[in-house]
Amino acid sequence: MSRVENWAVVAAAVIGLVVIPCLNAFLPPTHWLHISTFSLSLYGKYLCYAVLAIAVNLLWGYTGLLSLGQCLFFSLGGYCLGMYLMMNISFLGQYHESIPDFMVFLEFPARYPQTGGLPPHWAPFQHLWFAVLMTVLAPGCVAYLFGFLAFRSRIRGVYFSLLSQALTYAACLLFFRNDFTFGGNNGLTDFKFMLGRPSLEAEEIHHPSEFIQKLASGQDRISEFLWKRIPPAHQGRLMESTGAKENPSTVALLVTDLNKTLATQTLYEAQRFSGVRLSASSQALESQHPKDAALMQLNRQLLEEAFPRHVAHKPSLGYVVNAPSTRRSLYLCSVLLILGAYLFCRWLTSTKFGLIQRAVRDLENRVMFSGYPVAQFKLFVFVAAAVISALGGALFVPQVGIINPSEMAPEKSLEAVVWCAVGGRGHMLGPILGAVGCNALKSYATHAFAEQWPYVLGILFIVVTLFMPQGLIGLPAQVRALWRRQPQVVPAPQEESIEPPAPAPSSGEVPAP
Amino acid sequence: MKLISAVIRLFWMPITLVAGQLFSGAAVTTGPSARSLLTQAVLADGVVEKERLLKELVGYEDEIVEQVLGAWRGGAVFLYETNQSRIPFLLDTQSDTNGNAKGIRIEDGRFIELTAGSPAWFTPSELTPADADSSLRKAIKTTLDLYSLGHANPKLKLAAIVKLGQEQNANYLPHFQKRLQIETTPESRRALLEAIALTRTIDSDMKTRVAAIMDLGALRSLNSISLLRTMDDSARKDPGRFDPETTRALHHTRLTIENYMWWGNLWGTLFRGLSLSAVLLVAALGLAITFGLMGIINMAHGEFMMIGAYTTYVTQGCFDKWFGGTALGLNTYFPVAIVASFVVAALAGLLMERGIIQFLYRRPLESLLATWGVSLLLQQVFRHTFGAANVQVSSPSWLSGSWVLSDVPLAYNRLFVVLFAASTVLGVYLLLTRTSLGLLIRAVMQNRAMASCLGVKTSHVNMMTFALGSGLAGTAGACLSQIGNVGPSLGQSYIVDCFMVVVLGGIGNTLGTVSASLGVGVTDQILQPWLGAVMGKITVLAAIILFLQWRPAGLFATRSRSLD
Repeated sequence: MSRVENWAVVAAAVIGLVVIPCLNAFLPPTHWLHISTFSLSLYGKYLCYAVLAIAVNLLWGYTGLLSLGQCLFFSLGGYCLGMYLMMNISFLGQYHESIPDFMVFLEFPARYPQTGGLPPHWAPFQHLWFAVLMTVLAPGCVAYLFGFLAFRSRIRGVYFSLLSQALTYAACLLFFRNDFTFGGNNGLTDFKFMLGRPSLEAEEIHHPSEFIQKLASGQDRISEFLWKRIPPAHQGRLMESTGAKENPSTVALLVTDLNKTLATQTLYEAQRFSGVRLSASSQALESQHPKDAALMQLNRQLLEEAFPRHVAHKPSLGYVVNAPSTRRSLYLCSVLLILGAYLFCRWLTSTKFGLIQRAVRDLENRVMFSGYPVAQFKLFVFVAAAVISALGGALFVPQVGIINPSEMAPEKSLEAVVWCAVGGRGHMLGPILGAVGCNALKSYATHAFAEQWPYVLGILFIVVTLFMPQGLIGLPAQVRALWRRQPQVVPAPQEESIEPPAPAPSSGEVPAP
Repeated sequence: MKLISAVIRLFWMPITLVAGQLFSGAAVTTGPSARSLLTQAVLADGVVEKERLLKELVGYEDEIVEQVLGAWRGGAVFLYETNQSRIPFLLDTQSDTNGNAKGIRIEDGRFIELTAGSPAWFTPSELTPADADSSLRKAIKTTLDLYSLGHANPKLKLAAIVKLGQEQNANYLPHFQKRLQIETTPESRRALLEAIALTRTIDSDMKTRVAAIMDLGALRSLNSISLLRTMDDSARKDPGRFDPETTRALHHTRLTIENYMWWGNLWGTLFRGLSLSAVLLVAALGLAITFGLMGIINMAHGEFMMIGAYTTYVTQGCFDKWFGGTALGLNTYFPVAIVASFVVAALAGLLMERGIIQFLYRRPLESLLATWGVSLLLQQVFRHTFGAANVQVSSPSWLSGSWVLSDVPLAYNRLFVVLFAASTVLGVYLLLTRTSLGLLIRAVMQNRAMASCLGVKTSHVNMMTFALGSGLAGTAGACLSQIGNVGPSLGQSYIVDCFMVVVLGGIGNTLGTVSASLGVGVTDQILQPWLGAVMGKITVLAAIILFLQWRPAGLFATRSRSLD
């Protein structure tokens, strides 16, 4: 089996990393083998869910902990990266403000006047490193805290499942609240840029007062155009400040107004730029007549070229989240992530640690009596699974384009458990197969027969639990056993938990009903 | 004693209601008839004369007074002018296709006739209403309000008394006094006393004033608290505003009433907590049996509740059909619905146990998944059959309304849920401890192998136990249909709370379930005013997780020497 598995993984990696992206990038859209960017993102989404399923499997299949709240960690990771993406929308929201739309809509400027409406804990999320750090830390800490409390008091089996479900339910309720500052029930959406943004920053303007004078004088058409877009009241304030020493608030005002222009107007016009030597990249971009996010990038480039003395050159104007190339890269990241998660789990379970892990699954008490700190083992696995889920969630968000509290609703976590069960738990490839298969089926079913989908899902649940205890992975062995008329070859996995064959109270006491 | 009388009230409501309708409607009239006075008032010259006649109308309890004065104020009293006379009239409510209607004479209530036998038809837009300027309208309003003091509808009467009392107009005092002599119902008498006291608080005589203020305190008058607060505040700001006795009385009365309000709020919160607890208890009791006793995690428990609620809906529909939509059907369907929902949900549980769960007794985590699949299926089946929107389950008349106990309204349907929860718990307790089935259930749950050796058919007992738990879920659904929405997602909203209650209470322990639901319900209601509904719920969930640190096996753990 192991050799077959190895070859399957290598083949899948080659297809995922090379074949599919090439089919997307190099074939013309009319070709029958072409894979559209939409499909590519869809595959990326399946892979992120598969990462979640790997985490569930690590807990359930290998440690015997059925967590019904794994989607909480998935969503927390998603929220952390979503916050980073929200911070980089840079004036392209519906309101064209520096803060995300929902903050304008929920009147945050009145609540947080010092920062112009941005809650203080949002500010550091404009840096990618911080967002990624939090993607690991936030779910990790929540998992550590919950796991510590649960395992310390030896909550296990069914009780652990129910408590983890209550945890994600509570978090879901919390995130639905508008004043929790994470967008309420709309969540975070409408992402534009990542890894940089084209908007002007205050420190990118050199010699501000000279720049303002130049704009105000209207000597060239570009200055005239830009100056006209600045509201008259602001014009007055800007003019007043030109003689005096540079005032940070005036520069901020200028930057905000210029950014709004960059985000909303088409700067380029042949006559307007007749006196400016455009770079090759700007010309190439212009010829595509870009819109929305790409237009803002072009505008920024043009501004730099028109005012080389005043506007600093920004090496990276960011990547547009919806652009095909970005989507491709994100998809590749998902493949790499799932490979990494797979290899990590495979390595972990093959070590001595993994052995104890499985021992905990099968007979926890015996492991405990042998002197192993079971709670710590479980805690480590729980936190590791949470971090893996969170990484999946973080890559899920830019590809799907939205994260909202319904992603952490209890039924989502149950669905993740089902993927795992369908694919075959306790096996490394099972959950990946299950997650991709179930989600592909779901995508197809919600298009083809949306009404009947819950029936399909419900029946799938029942059939898999009753007849396919080993999932899809175990199916060949089951069929083979049937073929040889030896139905007992594949035993149902015996679960250690509240009722081993001969159950509970051995003392003579009658529990009061 | 109060509780007993509440119970009696709950069940005697229908009878008292009928009796109340039979014996009301007596009227007091003296002097010229209301109709002729009204006619005179409309026809009289000059506002002063009209107002005098309007004042005379006070004390008449004829419905026509309300009808005509209301119409007059709204410009719907018209004058029919012939050569000899002017006749005030109203338009008939029934109009023909052109919008024309017959005229009804105020004087005698007959139609205006051109010639004998053929009524005249009027076009409303062509008529000029009898004039009513603003001062006259005010007078009409006052007369109408004073008329309402004797209104046949007790609710309107109370509202009128309270409203006139708040106006603090000394002119109304004699009317209040007069009314007080003939009024018999305690509510109206209390309201009248309150109105009199309120009006007298601005009396010029100091003793009357102080007495009135003290009266308000003795009456625990909630209606006067805002007024007393403003008076007390102004007295504090400007000590010379009232004489010292009045100031003291004001302060004392304010404290008395505020104290009373505080207690009222407390009782209200406790009652709401109790009723929430009862809801949780009713919902969790079935789970305490299937999960607590059998160790089966039935994620479809909520859907069994939904089955119960929809059974209630269907029963209601059937009764509506059989009784032709009369109130009798509405009032009698509910007890039948409770039984029906028990039976239907128990059958569904039986089917599920035989079909799925009996294969999963050794795999509790997988029973969780399979039952969740069932819950998805059931939800979708009901969504298909009854539609995704909530269905309308109407309460029988004896469950609508509320019983007001010292100004705290206790809704009858909530009281019913509390009683229902109590009786179900009692029933389950007796079933488990006093019947042979209960003995078998307990034996199988404690040691299946030993029970089996002794000849107990364990699979039958499992089946019965699961059916019992499911049936209880069904009755819970019937019960919840009276206080919440009935829709395909009814079960989902309770399932997490139910499991929390059972886990918190301790497994296999009805007493634990009762105390856990009481604890959760009351805590939730106490926290709600401070933290809001959602934060309250989150806090309770967090508190449960922390509490299990202290007692991992729940409130009332079954003591045992075995591990797991």
